[in-house]
Amino acid sequence: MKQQSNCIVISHVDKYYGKKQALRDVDLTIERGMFGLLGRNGAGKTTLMKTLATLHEKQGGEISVCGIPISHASEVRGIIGYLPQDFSMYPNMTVYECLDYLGTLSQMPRAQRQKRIEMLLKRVNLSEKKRSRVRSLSGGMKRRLGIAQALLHDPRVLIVDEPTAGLDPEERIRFRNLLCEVAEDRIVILSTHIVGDIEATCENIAILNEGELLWKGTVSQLLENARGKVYVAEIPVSMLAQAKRDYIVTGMLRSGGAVTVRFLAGAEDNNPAGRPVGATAAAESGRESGQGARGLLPGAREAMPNCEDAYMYCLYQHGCEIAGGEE
Amino acid sequence: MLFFKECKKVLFSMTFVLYVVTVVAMYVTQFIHDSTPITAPLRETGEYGMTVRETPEVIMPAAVESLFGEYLSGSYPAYPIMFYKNVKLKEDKRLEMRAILEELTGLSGEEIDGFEDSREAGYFSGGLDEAGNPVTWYQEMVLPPYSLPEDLTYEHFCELMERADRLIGGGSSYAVDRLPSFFGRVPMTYEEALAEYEALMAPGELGKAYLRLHCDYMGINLAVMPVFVAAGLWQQDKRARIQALIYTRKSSGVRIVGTRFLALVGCMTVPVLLTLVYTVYTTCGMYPQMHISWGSGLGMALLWLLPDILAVSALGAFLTELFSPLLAIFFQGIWWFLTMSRTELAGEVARFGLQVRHNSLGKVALWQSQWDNFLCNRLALTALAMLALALTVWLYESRRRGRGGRMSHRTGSGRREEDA
Repeated sequence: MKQQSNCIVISHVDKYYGKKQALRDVDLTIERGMFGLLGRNGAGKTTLMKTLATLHEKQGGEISVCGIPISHASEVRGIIGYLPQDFSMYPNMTVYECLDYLGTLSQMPRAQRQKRIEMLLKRVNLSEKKRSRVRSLSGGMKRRLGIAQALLHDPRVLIVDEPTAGLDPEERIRFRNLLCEVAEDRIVILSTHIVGDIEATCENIAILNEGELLWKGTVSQLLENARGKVYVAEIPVSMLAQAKRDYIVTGMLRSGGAVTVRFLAGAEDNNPAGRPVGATAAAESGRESGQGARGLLPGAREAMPNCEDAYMYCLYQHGCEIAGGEE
Repeated sequence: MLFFKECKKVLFSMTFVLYVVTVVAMYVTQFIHDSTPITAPLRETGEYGMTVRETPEVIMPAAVESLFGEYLSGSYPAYPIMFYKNVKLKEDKRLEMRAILEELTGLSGEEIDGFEDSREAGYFSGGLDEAGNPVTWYQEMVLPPYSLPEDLTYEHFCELMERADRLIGGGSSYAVDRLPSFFGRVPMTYEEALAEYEALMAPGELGKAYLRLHCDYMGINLAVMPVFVAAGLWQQDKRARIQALIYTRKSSGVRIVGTRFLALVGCMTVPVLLTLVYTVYTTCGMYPQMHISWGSGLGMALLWLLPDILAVSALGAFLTELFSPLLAIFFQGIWWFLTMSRTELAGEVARFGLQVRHNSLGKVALWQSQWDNFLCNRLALTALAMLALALTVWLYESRRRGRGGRMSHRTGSGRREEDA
């Protein structure tokens, strides 16, 4: 019980929009720290986040947030902070007024509101903007204001949906670091389709696809799963089209007349859909480290998988349709 | 405190500014009149104003003369939905109208249609007088000689008038409930004028009379304008795309919706109260020697006006939450328009309806006879407001939990979240 009171337990959750099933038997336990929810657009991430934030009702299964059943929406709202994907505030209000208004709606006493607002504005580096109107803030500042409002009532769970989309690299890094800091003493669920954000911040992740949970575990387990399936080869540009047809290409770098291609290979046995990639021979003959495998692109050598490779491999492994790099 | 924060949102909205402007404009242009105090009638003047009485001997000849004139001119003025309409009858209806006139005048159809010297009453001008100014004169209506049948009863006359009104399409002066006000105006007698004056000067009645007239004008405004402010406030969350942030806060739907509603009503009541205070102030200035009792009059004014603000605001909030602000305004506009066109300036008060009218300083006895209807009307409107408010809370909570079909998915940017 003690363990359940510190984590989110999602068991066999289903959710429909009309006849379309948006969540399919999702089973997940989320513990303290940063948790990444990864998936394509339309995978069901936002639906799951909104269900956790009490904005949607599930149709099947059970969810408890720190020991409180999700059906006790009022109690759950008292311990969650939510930063929606399209965060917005009344444009004519000042930064301070916005936070004060939302704090009042969270039923915080006035003195506590004042103290927390000052502290959070300092933390998100918006102290100097507290008298500025929301409409005058930049995109990055608005996101920081968003995280401040979500943390205002010191929630035990923070739910952030695609928070870095549209931010410049500097703001993105700054925002990720901020999330990591606040995750020290609470559950932070980060939903994104940007693999780099997950890799940089989360230890535990889940991958959703078409409402179904494809993977749950640590980032290192995901990387381990893709070990031996990622290759790098330098090929002439003329072979690039053929390579894209035959392999799942996860990266390429042109240099003069040659191109360095990063691709997945040797995964057919694990792919229930059995999508053919031209690495059958490699799977049969094993890997030829450094020299290029028979059946692989000439000069192909095994590479250490990164998070993007591992994510793509996971999708491929579960039979997901992957748009190739064909031009 | 949430109430004051919501008040601030209301006070700084454009729709509230519009509301205040219309309240002030209505007050200044319609209510503030000459500051001549009401005085006792003097017998020697011989003129004590006009009054309306349902006297068949007065109404019947006047109405028949008017209908006859309109028939001969071929056009019938009417106000079917408040606006003037000049009705021209098709041949079959014209013949039906002629048959009515035949019955009322004893003339045959040929005699009626054969009269070619008819002339409408009106002012005409032509030529110059000795000083060189244009000459204007009033011409009486010219009709063929006729007389009302001796056996014509008032009941049968009313039936014929009702048929005539139907042929015109409704909204004419021949509608039975309008006959006295159009054709029953007679000069007041001294005794009547004195009785009216004494009723006004009874304890507490003078203040009430001025406040009644005040409420009559203000009620026109308050039966529609609050919907703009309510729809504007309720739309703010959607426009700012802040719904998801508010939905996930701890406060209950009852607290959020209830506080907003109180803020709306509170803010909109303040300008109305200020105009009431000004009316009290100016009226006291008109009667410096008199002690005017205002207590019951102010109570009546609040009982008159507050239900308007409550009901129109609550319905505006509910319809904005359910559909859109435009639809809320449209619905309220239609209701207001229909009520305005059907409510007498001063007469019977409907037990259920949006508006109460008593566009007169006098007619105290008439008002007193309608008091129970007035109470019923205002209580029904308040009950409607409470029902709409309860439905708004229910709808708000449903939206908050993502219930309610397609519309419930619009918690944020408006796109379906399964896309994300």
